[in-house]
Amino acid sequence: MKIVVCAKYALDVAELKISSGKPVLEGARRKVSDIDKNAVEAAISIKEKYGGIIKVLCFGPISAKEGLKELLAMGADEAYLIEDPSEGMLDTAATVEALALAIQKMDGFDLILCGEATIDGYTSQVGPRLAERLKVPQITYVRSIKIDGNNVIAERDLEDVYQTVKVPMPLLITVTREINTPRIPNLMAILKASKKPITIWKIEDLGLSKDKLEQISSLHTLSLEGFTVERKRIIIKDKPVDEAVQELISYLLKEKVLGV
Amino acid sequence: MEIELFSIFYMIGMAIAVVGGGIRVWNWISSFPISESYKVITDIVKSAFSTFFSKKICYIIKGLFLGIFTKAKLRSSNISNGFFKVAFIIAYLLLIIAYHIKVENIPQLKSFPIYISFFIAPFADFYFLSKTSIESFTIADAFFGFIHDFFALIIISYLLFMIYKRVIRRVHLKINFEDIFCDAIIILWFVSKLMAETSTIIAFNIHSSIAKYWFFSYALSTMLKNLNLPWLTLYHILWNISGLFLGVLIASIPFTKLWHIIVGPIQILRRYSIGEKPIVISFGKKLSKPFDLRKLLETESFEVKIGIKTIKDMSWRQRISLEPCIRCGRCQDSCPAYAAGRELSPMEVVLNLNSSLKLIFISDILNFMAHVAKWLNFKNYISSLSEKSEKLLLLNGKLKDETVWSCTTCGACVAICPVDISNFEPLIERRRFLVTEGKLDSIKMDILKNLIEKSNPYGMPISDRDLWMKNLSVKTLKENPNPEYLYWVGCSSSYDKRNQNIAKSMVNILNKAGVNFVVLGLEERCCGDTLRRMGDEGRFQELALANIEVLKSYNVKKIITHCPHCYNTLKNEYKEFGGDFEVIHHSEFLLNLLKMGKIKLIKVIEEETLYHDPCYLGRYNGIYDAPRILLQMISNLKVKEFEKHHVNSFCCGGGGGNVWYEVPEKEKMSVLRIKEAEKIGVNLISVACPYCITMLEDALKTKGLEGKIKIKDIAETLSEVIGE
Ligand code: SF4
Ligand code: SF4
Repeated sequence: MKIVVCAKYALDVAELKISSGKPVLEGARRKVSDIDKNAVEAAISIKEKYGGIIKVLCFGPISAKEGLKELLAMGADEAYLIEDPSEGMLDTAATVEALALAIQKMDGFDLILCGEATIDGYTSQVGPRLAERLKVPQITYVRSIKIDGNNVIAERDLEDVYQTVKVPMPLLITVTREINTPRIPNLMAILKASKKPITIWKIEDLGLSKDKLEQISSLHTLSLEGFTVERKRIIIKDKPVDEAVQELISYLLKEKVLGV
Repeated sequence: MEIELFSIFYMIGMAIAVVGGGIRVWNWISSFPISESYKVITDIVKSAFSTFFSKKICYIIKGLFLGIFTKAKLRSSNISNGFFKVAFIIAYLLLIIAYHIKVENIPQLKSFPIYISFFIAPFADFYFLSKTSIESFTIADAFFGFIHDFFALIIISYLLFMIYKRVIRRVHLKINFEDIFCDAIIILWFVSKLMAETSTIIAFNIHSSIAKYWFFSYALSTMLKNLNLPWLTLYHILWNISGLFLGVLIASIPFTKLWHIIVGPIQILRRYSIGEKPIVISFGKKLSKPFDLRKLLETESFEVKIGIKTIKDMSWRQRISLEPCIRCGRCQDSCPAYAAGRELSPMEVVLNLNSSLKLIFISDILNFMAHVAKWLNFKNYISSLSEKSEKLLLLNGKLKDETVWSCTTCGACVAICPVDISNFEPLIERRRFLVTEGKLDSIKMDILKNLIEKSNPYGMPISDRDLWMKNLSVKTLKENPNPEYLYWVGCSSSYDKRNQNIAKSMVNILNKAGVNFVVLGLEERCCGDTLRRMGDEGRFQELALANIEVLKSYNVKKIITHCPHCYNTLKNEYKEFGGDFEVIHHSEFLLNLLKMGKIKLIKVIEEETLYHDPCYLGRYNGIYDAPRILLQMISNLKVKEFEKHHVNSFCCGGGGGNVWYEVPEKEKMSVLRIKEAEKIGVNLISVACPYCITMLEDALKTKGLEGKIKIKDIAETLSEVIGE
């Protein structure tokens, strides 16, 4: 089975600092988007059961090599990095174009796995768009995967219901965090993985150019603003538990954290 | 020779013992290459020699007795036990000496080297005190006779006392047949021997000027002499019976806990030859290093075995070190995890591993049979045999994951064990295995992930590490490159809102005292204590090397820290990775400032305070007095003690990574500790460790004692009495 996992070397938003109203992107820390690791873990467990090869694919800065090493250490077999000329300023349409061309350059696939969204942009668009672009069926928000012959049986998490679907391969799946707990490769595995291949493509290698991608990208950044959310600092103190709970609930309702 | 059977029993016993002993030694060295086993044995012999012929022997003798007394004192209820044991060991040593002198003086044995004559002495006449031996009576016999009876009395009463404790007082829940057997067989041997001696004295009518040295038998003989018994027949029968008991006793040494007679001394010699104080534990300060990351990176060979999947993955040293266990149960009694009702008893850990150890031989035989089957082409048997052989060695059933994660590495078990077993070492080794295999639950995964990604266990942003020092007058190394001291803050006081106050107090005190100090600020990372104790050796080394590089790049020489975990790691563990710094715990540093008059008190504490010994400060590093003296100097009232204090201190439950995850238990350790404090009745508990604060304050919440009892670090208290 040939599995391709798309992974983003995303901004580590927890480390993002706001300086005079602007997020500081320069030198900001990056890491592999958490949910993409779930996708890799899902790929590994499929490989463990049914055999195959796992390729991870990333469209991002050259520093993403570090992240890819980690995925290789987890158990992916090959890694491909398409160097992003625009420093992350392209939209999902352009990203998908690059990813699709890269996948077409590979020797086919049975399954493409993506995270349901990335931790920075959180658009949830790359997976579905990529499926459309490659003209394969897709199953989104998947919380469990089973392989049955040439079909995939997947359970989708649709917030208030679970939906089980059966789709023939090849196809694309986006997974949720709940699907598994990604393993943490130990240091030895990472060191060993440094011997696995990482192929680096320039967009020109895929027959693209910066201009062309910018054309495809319909997103134009006008300005980037950062704003800090202050805590509400409400403390319910010195009250009997029942009353305190009632009060807490009424606050949560007011803030729309809870809905009726 | 008149007493034929005696020698036969003795010989059979010896033969069994030699075979059994051989098997046990095999279990130590199996799976190590021959050259290594050879090296191991020569190393042991060599170090034994060099120990004996150097001044280390003084350490050993001092350490041994000091150790026994201190250990006995650890359990004040059992002082009698300690004295018994000391008397027992002294008498035992004297007996061996007397025996040697005696054997040296026997004409028939003179031609043999001493280590052979020692073992063949029971074939000689003198042994039976018979007529022929009396003819050659010397002062050496007299000495031997006296010591012998003296020793016999001590040992019989000691063992009777033990049986009483086991059967009547039920110190352990279950009566263990093996325990009773071991006690009983020695008693039987000595009693039959004393009786045989008595019958000899009567049967041969040995003159009292000689017989009196065997004072006990002599006394018996004067009492029984007038009974009209066939003494000569009895003489034969009793000596043969005692021979039987001796044979059984010797034969059972390798198969029962009596084995500790052989391995106990090896263990104790090893420990005391380092000259360590008994109030400091011998294992834990510096965990074993299965590999050196620097070397691996150099050679690019990353195939190293980490942790213990099977019993064979333990080093020979670790295997030997488990064997002397005498099942006294002290480790279990002092274990906070056991007290809290967790699925962990340090004694069970040792016993389980010991039972696994014994399977090595069987597994090797099965493996050998698999080879034979292969050679004979018995296809059906090959795989099942080798499978069985492998299965025997697995530790899955012996060290359950829950047990492995229940330990706080507090070291109470190690401190109290009379034969110096490092009870929790295998637990750490097992964690290393689980981490390597990625067999962790998601919470533990997250802790490791946080440490790897954010260099702190909370998973808080790296860039927030210096938030605590906003608005304080603290310089970083970047701003003041020539400080005298570096103040190492640690993760807990950098990120935890409550514990930041310790760091703030420290800054206040250090500034008031005019100390030229800096902090690392954003360049500080976790010291790695949690990573190492949770079994992620590789990441620990990575972190340690990175920290050492930063510290060295600024040419840091002296480090102050208020966290005993950082203190222990920086001081004892970084050395092996090229980081040799002078590390000072704040309790000692602040005490020094006080003593030198660098800080002025504007008030004193008027509250009674109770001091809680943090494990990594006390048991691990022997710092017990500094924080107490400091508290005493700033207080009007006496510093009180917990029921369990100093080396006996009861863990707050935070060590070994336990602050960050939960383990199923009946009652939290911290709650047990708080209950102890409640009984004593104080309002202020002083500690010298941020984890203790976290854990104990959590217990206050659980018990609803918030506001009634306060928990403070000594630095916080000191900062209050010197003013802002
Ligand atoms: S180190 Fe402490 S918690 Fe761990 S087994 Fe020993 S006594 Fe129990
Ligand atoms: S204290 Fe030592 S000898 Fe006693 S049971 Fe525990 S490990 Fe065994």
